[in-house]
Amino acid sequence: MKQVRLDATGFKCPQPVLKIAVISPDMEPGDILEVIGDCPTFEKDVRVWCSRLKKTLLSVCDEGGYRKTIRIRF
Amino acid sequence: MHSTDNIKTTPGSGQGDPCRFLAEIACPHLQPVNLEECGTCQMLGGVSDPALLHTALKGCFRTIREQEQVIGREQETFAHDFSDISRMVDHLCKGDPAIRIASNSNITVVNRLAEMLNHLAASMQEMIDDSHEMAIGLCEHYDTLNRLASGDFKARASVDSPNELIAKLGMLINRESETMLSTIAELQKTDEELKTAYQQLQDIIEFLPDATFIIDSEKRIIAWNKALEEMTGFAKEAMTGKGDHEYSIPFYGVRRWALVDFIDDFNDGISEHYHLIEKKGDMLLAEKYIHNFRDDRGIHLWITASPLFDRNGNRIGAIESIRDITSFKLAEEQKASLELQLIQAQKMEAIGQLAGGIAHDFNNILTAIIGYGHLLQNKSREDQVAHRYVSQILVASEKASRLTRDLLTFSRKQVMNLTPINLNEAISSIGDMLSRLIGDDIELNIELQDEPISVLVDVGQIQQVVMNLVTNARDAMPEGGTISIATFTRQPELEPARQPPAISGRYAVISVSDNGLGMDQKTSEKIFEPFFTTKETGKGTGLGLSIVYGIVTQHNGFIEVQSSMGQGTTVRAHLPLVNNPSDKSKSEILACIPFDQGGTETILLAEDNTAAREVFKDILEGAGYKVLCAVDGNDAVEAFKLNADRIRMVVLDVVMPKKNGSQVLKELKAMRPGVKHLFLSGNIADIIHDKEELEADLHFLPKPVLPNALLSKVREILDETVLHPAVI
Repeated sequence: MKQVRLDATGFKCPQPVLKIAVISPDMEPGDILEVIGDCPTFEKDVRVWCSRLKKTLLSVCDEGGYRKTIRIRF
Repeated sequence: MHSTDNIKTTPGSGQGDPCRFLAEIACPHLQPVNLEECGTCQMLGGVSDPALLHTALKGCFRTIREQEQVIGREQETFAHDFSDISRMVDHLCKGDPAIRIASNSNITVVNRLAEMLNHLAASMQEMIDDSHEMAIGLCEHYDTLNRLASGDFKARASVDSPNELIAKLGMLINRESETMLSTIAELQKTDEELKTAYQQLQDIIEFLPDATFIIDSEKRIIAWNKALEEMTGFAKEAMTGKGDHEYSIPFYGVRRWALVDFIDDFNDGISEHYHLIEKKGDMLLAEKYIHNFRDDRGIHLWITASPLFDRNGNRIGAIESIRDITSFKLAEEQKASLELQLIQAQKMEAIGQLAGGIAHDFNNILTAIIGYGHLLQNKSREDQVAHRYVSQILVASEKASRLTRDLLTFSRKQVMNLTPINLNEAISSIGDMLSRLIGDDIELNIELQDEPISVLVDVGQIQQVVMNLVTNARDAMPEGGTISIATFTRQPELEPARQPPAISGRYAVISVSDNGLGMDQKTSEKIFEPFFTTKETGKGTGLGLSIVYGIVTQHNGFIEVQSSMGQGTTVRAHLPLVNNPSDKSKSEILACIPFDQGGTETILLAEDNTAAREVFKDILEGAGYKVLCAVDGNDAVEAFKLNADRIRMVVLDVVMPKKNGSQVLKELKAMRPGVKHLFLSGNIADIIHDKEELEADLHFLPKPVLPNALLSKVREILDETVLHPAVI
């Protein structure tokens, strides 16, 4: 099991989820992806992505000013 | 901004002129005005009371101040309400369309702005949601395509996206994946079928009995079967994939062209590489002998090579098949040798029968000549000339008699005195005689096997074989040389044609070699034929090797001859080995012991040949015997019946019409067991078939019979003790 960190700050949605989609083929079941974003719709997009792609959203850490860190388990 | 505090009556352009003063302070332009054009001045035109004017001005100033206050309050309200507008714009600019503001400001324009911004936010929200849906849908499809690409052909794209394009894309992906799945299933089925077919082909190639390899268009080995591994000792794993004529190394030790390489370059030069080459269509067939294959043994190969094509007729490689035909070639050579031996044996048999037949008839004639010659000799003692003539006739007859004996020996119709002996002793005992036979210019080497070699032979005949062979060897070396005699035992790989095999399978061999002239194949095929000779006329009878042949074959042996022109000749006489040399029951001792004596007994003489019958009758009667004659077998039996009481002995020719000698004796024995008898014949084989019955009391004389020999034998038989009580 591995952990991958993806910094998507500065990218406007839906760019962060597209980056998550690109990196996902390299993830094995059980791997953890930590994504950081600051787009106002970042959290909402990631939640929808997790729901639709059958991934588990582990946590959302709001660091203020739209900046959030979200952990996803594949 | 005007203020009454700022209205000062200072000297100026309007000093002294109130109208101008007012105009100057009231005029919003604060510019010197043209009174004629100033409306205020025109309005105030004609006012000249200062108090009134002051009051009026105060009123004006108050009004102005009030208006200024209203304006200030309105400005504050606008600033307050507009801050929401500004905040909202800020959010929108950051991409957050979720914010909304109230539109309840007293300022119409602010409300209007709020409404517009709310509408703008809603539109943005809708656009962002739509774009995000498209992005998420793309992510989903990306994930689906990724799973399909990874081999998860059951992966399916979502088709229920609210975004029409994404939904359609999902359907397209699913349709393509279904098509792909179907195609893959077909490909998998085809692949399985191909694998099965390939495996079958591999198995067929692998288990082909012929050594086989296949090369691709680059001449790299792609198949190397088990038979080829076994033939060459080179493993498939080591050879597969190798190019640059590697396939030739196991056979030739070097990289060189193999038959498979000549498929595309068939030319006249190819025949230099193969003993036999043939082209049938695309296929090449060749025969090759390799002298030093693997462990330096020679090997005959039958090779076929053919090109390989794909379905479109494109050349994709070639196949070569190699068969070891060494055993086949050996068998072919052995078969050819056997056929030659058989033909030779049949020829010799025919010649032998002819010679034997001639000798038999000639013996009868000689019997008459010699018999009457002796009688005439006795009667002509007074006439010296006649006596000399008769003596010459008898000498010549004796020579003719020896000649017929030699012919009979060749035709294997001589009586053998078989004795179990050590072959080495039989040969060493005549060593000195052989030395004298060959002369001084020829060296004689005798190498006998250390262990005794037991054979059942007529010693004299075998010694004659050796002497004849040595004589021939000597005559083949007019310039001198070396004759080598050797004995040994061996088990031939192949039994000779037309010969019963030795009981043990092993043979004693007498080998006589010379390093003389040698002979060609044509000559060596004829050397055993009677009267065939390469010697000068008068220096050989042409019977020496015929006698050797007759003796050896009569002993159930055979002869091998190896000869090369200028290199000498080796003759190997093979005689069957016996396991029990002391078994004397197999011995046939039929020696004749001369015993000269006459008598008065009555003898029945059965002889179909008139001349022979008459001379035997005269000889016997001349010795005092009474002779009853019979002309054939039946006549002999009838004569015995009629004269049984006085006949003491019967003399029977073996070969007679109606009944042969042995049949006659059988019937006579039925009438009188133990009847005394004597067979006469030029052909011992004539009675051999009845040997079992005759062996106990067989008496035989070979023709031509000398009178004394006949009389001695007759006397000897008549004087034998009679063991049978029924005999008179």
